[in-house]
Amino acid sequence: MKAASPSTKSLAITWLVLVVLHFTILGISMLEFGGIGTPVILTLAVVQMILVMLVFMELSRSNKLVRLFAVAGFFWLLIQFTLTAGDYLMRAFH
Amino acid sequence: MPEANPTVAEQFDDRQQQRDAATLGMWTFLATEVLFFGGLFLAYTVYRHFYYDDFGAGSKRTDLVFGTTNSVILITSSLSVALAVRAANLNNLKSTLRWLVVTLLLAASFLVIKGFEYHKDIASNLVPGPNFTPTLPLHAQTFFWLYWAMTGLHAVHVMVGMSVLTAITLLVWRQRNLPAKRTTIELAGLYWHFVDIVWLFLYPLLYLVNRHS
Repeated sequence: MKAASPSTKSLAITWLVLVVLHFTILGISMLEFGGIGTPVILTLAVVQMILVMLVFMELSRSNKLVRLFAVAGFFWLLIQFTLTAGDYLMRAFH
Repeated sequence: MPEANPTVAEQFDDRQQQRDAATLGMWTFLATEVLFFGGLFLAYTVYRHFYYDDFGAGSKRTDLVFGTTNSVILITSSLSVALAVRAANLNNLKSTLRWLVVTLLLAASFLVIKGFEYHKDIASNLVPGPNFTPTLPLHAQTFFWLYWAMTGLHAVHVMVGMSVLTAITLLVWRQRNLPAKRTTIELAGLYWHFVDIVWLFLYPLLYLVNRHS
């Protein structure tokens, strides 16, 4: 049977990884990465978000319906960004 | 007829079903919150695309020490609220109260630091408008408009989270009935983690644009 919540150890390790990622992001921003700095930083921020959602918000233990709802908001956001980016990128062809 | 369980509302079969329904409701609310902040993140993306250099110049005027410290505080408060939820699930009243209070203290520190930061920003004429500092390019104002809107709305969310957590802490402390408040603590925890996640994106987007140059 699963424990009611993640163990103190896994919560503490998650916190440590989040802090390490945080200072990695800060370090990367200070260095010149020839334009790939921002995508790398945002990817690491997404990794942080996924860690918070899976461990702290206990999505890894939630039922499928809850997981679906958790992803839904981001899916609508993706549509919002894709349609808007489509508009601005197409304007370059005029 | 089984005796009515005071911690389960009449429309639910049992506590698990009540908990599942409440959790799903909270995630639905959080999906609307993702879209609420999403509009601002979208505006940020479009304007940064057009005015990248001005956004870089503006971002360099934000206070990296305040921003970085606050990030660590908020990440730590996510840990403390997760520990409070864990303690509540283990029916440990003392530990639950302790971690809730730690979370509240961290949240208060975040707001105090943000207050000092805002004070410094105002003194440095970083509020868009007629008094905006002439040392920055025109569209750095657009950057700072987004800076104030996004961090301001985030701070409002921190205050709402603090109010909810304060109310829960007082109720748990006075009633000493942890099982009745377990789901409430879990839902407040979910909201608090969401506030943390928003900041995880605000930090690199507002404080770290073009820092290396």
